[in-house]
Amino acid sequence: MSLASEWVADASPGAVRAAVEALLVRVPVASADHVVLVPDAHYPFHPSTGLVTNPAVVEALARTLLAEGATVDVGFPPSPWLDVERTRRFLGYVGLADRLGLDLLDLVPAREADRRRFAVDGQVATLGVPSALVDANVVVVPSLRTDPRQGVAGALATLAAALADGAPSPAQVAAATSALQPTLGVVDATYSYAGEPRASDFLLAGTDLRELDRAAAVLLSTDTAAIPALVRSTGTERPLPSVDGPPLSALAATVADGRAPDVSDPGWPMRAGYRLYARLTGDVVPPQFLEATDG
Amino acid sequence: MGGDLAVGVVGVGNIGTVHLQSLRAMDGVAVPAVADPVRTNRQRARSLGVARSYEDAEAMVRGEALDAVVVAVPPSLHVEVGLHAIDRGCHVFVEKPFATTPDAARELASAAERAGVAVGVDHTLRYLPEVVRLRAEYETGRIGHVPLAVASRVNNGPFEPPPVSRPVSGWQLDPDHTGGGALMDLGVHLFDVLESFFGPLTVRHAELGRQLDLPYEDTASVVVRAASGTLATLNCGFFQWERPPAFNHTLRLDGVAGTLDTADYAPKHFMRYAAGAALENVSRRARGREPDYYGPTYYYRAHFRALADFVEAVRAGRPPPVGAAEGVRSVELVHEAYAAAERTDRPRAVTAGEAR
Repeated sequence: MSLASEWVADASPGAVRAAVEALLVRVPVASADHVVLVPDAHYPFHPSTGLVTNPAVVEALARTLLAEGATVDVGFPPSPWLDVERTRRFLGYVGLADRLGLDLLDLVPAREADRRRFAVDGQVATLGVPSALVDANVVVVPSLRTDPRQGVAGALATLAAALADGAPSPAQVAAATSALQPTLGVVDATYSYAGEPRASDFLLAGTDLRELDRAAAVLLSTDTAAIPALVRSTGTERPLPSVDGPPLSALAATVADGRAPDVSDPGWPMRAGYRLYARLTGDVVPPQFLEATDG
Repeated sequence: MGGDLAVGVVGVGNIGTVHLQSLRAMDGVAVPAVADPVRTNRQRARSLGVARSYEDAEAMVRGEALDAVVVAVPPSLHVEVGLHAIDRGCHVFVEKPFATTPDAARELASAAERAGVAVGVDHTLRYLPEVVRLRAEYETGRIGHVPLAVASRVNNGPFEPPPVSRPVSGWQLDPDHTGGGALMDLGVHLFDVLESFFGPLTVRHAELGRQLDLPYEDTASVVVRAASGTLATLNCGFFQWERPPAFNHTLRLDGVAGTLDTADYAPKHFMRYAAGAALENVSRRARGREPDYYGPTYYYRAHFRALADFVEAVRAGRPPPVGAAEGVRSVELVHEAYAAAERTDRPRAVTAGEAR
């Protein structure tokens, strides 16, 4: 199954829209009566960092699908960092919804009774489909970024965030498409993040989210064997999917080759080292280096 | 004043804990109690050796025999908490901004004056090593009169750089609690520093911006003029990732006989600086000397020195170097800048061939 890629000429809305339209000719959204776009909006990072989906891409997708006669909404799963209402407002989605007459949907986790268990590679993952997505054609729109927890915060992880009750585990990410098969995934790489941001100026789309994530891993110079969800769901031995459009090698040249920052909080070696230094010298310890038992 | 100076700390979250640690490191200072509505903050203070903790600030100042109180709560509460302390005859050291409005700031200052207690305000930028050195050079007169100055301070405001490790603090996103955005939080420091160099300022122009749809400005640029003739630009923002000990602050003075720039005095590589400061403190310990407190953290050291100056002034019975007048004045300037940004007499766009 192939993927499609498209350069985005510049950051203007018109250029983003043109790229989206060109992309959707090659990977059309099937049965597009009611589409819910699910972007990565987990934290109010500026879109130019590549750490969240660029709302300009979501707007271009929405405008294109609306022009084709679909009804379109945008769905947001809860985030552990900030309530979803403020996060999407800060990122500009309230203005987007007002401009296009869309609804912004809270993807409330499914009730426990409606959750199902999926076995993936010997592990069990529990997932539920939020009611807002049950009868919708879901288009997942991740950003192209590394993630210290998931390796790649790709299409599967973005989908799993909407299906898990809380931060999804690798097994839940791997099982996401068993619970809900999206119509399409569109990786927003207008900006990318691999240790640092880049203006990468491209989009990559496909109907198979696993293949899309494998391609994203290549673009981010991340070994697919180090991405638990991909190992569990697909293995790593298969050849990469073909790409209709600019090849992965050309796209990858636009992405930084840095690594995801360490997620440890704020790094136990540094914390332990600072406390040792403070004991040696009589200096005081700043709040971020105090032990959990101190707080 | 005989015996230890008894200081209570109201608000022992992040910066309140910095003050608590600083006070506990100072000779002749005791911290018998703290107050904070957050249980984990109180627990942390107790684990650091504070004997008693209160949920309520008023209960603390009524229940303890305190000489001074550090006010490190959200800015909307500075006046309320400060007045409780002043009513009990305590000197107060207040986080910046001194208050969220000029009227509130003046109310607090007046109450302190009537009670005859000292007020200190935590305007830390004055205490940054590069600002101290730049001021010393400036005061020699070697660059002469300064027609132009630029001061800037940019950080990530209420947000974190990646990877995110904790939820965003709710009150920091509420302008009712903060009194404003980057201009109130960071610009207030810049006004204070510039007035400390050039005397009273007049706000000439201000522009605010938003990089995200926040409930306040995350970008601000203000042009001010000093009576001495210096024209200065202040730039501040909440939009840039800042990973400690890195610290994005600059002050540049273009004088008629030369230029002074804090970039020439600030660490070039903050991590290397931190390692050097840590080694220096190891060496001090080996020689039986006190450490340069918070030295490796860079920014917290300025907080330590600001609070130490306040404590020293209280002990000596003289006014703190950064007091109520400076606190009120910087809030007034922030509000004047907000008013300037709202004025509608915007310059007209000039089209090609139109200018004469």
